[in-house]
Amino acid sequence: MSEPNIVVRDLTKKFGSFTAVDRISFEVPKGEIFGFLGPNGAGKSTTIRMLCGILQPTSGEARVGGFSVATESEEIKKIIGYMSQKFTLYNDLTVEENIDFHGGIRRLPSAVLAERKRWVLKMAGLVGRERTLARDLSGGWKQRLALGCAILHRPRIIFLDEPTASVDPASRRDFWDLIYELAGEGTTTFVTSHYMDEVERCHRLAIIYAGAIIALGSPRELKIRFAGAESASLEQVFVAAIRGARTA
Amino acid sequence: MLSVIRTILRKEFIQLLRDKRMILPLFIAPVIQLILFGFAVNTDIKNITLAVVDEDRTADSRAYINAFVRSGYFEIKAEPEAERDVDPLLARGAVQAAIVVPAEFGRKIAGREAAEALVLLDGTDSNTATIIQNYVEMVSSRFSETLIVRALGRSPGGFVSVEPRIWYNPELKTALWMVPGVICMILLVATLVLTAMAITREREMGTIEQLIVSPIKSYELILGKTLPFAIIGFCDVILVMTFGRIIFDVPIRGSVPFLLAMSLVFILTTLGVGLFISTISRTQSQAMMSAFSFIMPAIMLSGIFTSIDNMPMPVQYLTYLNPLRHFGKIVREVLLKGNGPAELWPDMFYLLAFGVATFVLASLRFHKRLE
Amino acid sequence: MIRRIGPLARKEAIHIRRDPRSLFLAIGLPIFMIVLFGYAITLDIKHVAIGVVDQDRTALSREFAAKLAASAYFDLKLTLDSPAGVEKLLDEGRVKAVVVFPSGFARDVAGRRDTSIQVLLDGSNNNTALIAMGYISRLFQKLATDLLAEQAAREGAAGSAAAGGGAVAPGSLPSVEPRIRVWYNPDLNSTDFIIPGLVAVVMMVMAGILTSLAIAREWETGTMEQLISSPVRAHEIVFGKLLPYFVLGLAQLALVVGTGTLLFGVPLRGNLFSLLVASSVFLLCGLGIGLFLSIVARTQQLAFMLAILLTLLPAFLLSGFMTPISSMPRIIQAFTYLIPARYFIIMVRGIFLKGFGFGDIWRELLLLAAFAAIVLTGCVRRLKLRLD
Repeated sequence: MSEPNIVVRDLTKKFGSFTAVDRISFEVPKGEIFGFLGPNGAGKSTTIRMLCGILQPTSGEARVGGFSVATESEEIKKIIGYMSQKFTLYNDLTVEENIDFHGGIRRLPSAVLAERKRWVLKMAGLVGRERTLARDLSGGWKQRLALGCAILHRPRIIFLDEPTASVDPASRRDFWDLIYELAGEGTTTFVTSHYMDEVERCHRLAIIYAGAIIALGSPRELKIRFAGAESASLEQVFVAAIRGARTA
Repeated sequence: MLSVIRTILRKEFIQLLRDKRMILPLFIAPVIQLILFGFAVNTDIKNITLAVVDEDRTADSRAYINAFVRSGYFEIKAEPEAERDVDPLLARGAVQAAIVVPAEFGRKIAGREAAEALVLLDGTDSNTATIIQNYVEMVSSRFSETLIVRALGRSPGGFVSVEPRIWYNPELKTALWMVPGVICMILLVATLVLTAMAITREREMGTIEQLIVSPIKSYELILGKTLPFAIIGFCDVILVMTFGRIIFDVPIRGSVPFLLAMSLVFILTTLGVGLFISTISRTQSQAMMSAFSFIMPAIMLSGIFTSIDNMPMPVQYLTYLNPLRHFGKIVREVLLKGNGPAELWPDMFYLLAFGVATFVLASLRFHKRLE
Repeated sequence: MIRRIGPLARKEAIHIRRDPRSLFLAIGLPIFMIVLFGYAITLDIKHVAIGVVDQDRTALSREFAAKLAASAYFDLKLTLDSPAGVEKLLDEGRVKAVVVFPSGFARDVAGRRDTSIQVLLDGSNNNTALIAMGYISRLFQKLATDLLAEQAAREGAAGSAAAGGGAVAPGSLPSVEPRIRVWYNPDLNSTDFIIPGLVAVVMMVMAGILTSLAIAREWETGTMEQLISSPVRAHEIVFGKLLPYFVLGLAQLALVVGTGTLLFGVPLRGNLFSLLVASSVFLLCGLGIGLFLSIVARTQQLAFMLAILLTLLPAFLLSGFMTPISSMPRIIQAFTYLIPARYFIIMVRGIFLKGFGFGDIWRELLLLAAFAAIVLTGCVRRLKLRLD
């Protein structure tokens, strides 16, 4: 197994007296697609934000790509791609302008940017729609463009926060095919979701509830452990895990 | 219906005051503005800085110069030796005016002739310069009178004095003109901007969709969204009036209930405009720019800070369309002159007409957008 | 490190371009203000509506009244015989002042008894009242002095006739005539006074208000969160946002100066280059303030309302734009030292009307440069690229 790309140990985030993330620990090796499943408010977004280096942890430690989130966030930002929950894109900029902007922010040389732009446009199916305002794109196109902008600089590690919210199932499927492609190239993917069928496609996943991880393993392992059978649905796993956490 | 409105009202207040710092622009800023307008915008010209060059150096020239100081309006800041030393003083703005008494001053007076003194004014600020000019002529005129008395050996009698009797504002305090204006301005800005932004913010954030799919009726939504700001505006009016009274002794000679009732009518207009702006704006930024584009002309063409009487006639006619003009007049005359419906009914009529029309039209448009 | 400013500035420029309302405001408002102040708003008080109550009805009282009516400063609206109804006139605002000649006025003057003319003034607008009072006083004072001179002349003639011719020329009396010369603005044109100041006000307001939304908007819509996950630095964001608004501000400068000089004939006696430098530094101050508010406020609503409070009001009221700082209470005068517009107005009026050059404005220039540096440094420091 290659050296873990994301290492999290007892990571905690408190907002005043409210504990959003409570001593979570896990590791994500290189090239893995790691899912974070949980109800709203469980702490998914908070976790992602800490790992991206844009939110300071209260205690515990995490290392992304070998860098500490607490002290070396600048280095982390260079090597990751982040797709935030709602708005990666600037609504009043066109498709092309959004891509150019993100490329400029990442200081991609113009030749590289041109090539990557072609790739993103093809990947997102937006060839010919470069001059469309981001605002005028429907959900599926938007998300693909957002992903494209997030990975323009070919980051080794990408963080996707609810990337397929409000996107139709067909587009979701295409999106995940893309993720697999990237994983195949060695990209480590950390993705949060509340869609069971999607999370099924992760290599491993963690179920987070009330700030704590209540289950961790591959989908197959979790099905056996919580629902008794490999054929069980993740939904059952989810319900069982949460019930278990509540009674604990 | 009432409970729905109450629910929306509560949410609005919670959202508005979530950031405690909003207290600053909502309630503290009006008082600050009151103080600024009342004190800073002072058109009483005093402490006029003066440079004097006395080339004559006789008792008469000294007496003349002294007359300026004794008038209480002037302050001698420099006494240069020669006229050319005055140039840099005026240029730098170290003095606002300079008097050069020529060498033959005393001789001419003794010979019962008209003596001249050269007075240089910094005309950059034309308003102040005009007033200074008035003072200079007044002081010189009075001094001439004393010369005449002296020359004739006795008071000739038959002096005609001019006795001013100032109504409504006996001490001629700027505050009394400004405070009513501040009340109007604050009411306008608070109710208009907050309403426009509150509704637009929901549109920007996407939360307005929730409201659209809920069984809330349009008018419940409208009332819920506009009432909080009407209430805040109202509080601001009372706040400014009270502090105006305390700090500046601004009188309240007319009927307070009448004034508050008129404020309500005015609020109808501003809420209507705010509502309208929210229907044409997608982002808060647009709402703010639109609101500002309305507020600036409204204030400048309302007569609350600059007098309408001196504007060109076409512009004066234009101001009749400005609800702020009518409200400003009402506030000022109720406070200072004790006027009431008997004198102000035309403005009341305008205000009511504007208010109802604006609010109804805006509501209709809002209703249509919501569907 | 500086290379990210390019894409950031370009993005901001696109935002501005795609937001027609900001542009409309940025161009439209200055034009509106200039036209307004150039044509409509004047501080010169003329054609004040007055009324006369002539209880004397003699040739003398009518002569005085006629002088009033003939003056360009007044519009004689009505002449009454008795003071009844005067109160209503003033209440209704039909006249702003009423001059009352008492009965027996002419008799008293001829009999060399002291007499007085009452002037009732509507003090609501104290500026108008003060100036109107000044005009009336001056007018009557002159008339009174002339009367005195006539009387003295008659006496002198009578006296010298009685004494068989006097040594002193009869009919001549000593007097002092001030010869008034107005510098820089000989016609006391209030446009020449106002429009240079308008440059300051327009720039400060626009700079402050437009930028106040710039950063708060990104926080509120969530795009800032996305931005800070990249290696972008605080100073790159600040200057990237600053640049397009700076260019816009210079465009506004050109607009106001162009309109002012070409349309309204305001003289530009100093040189354009010093105006450009001074304006640029001032612009940086305004932009810095706006950005700082945007960073500190975090919501657009708060930022906007604070911007109005901290840029518009001081620029209009405390900078010397319309009312002189020297007339303000000492405490407030001290406070104005903190306001950039104060220094800029001195510079800009000096450049336009007094022909100032760098040698005259370097003190204010340095001060403003320091202010801009402090504010912009504050922006960079305060812009936290973290979510909490």
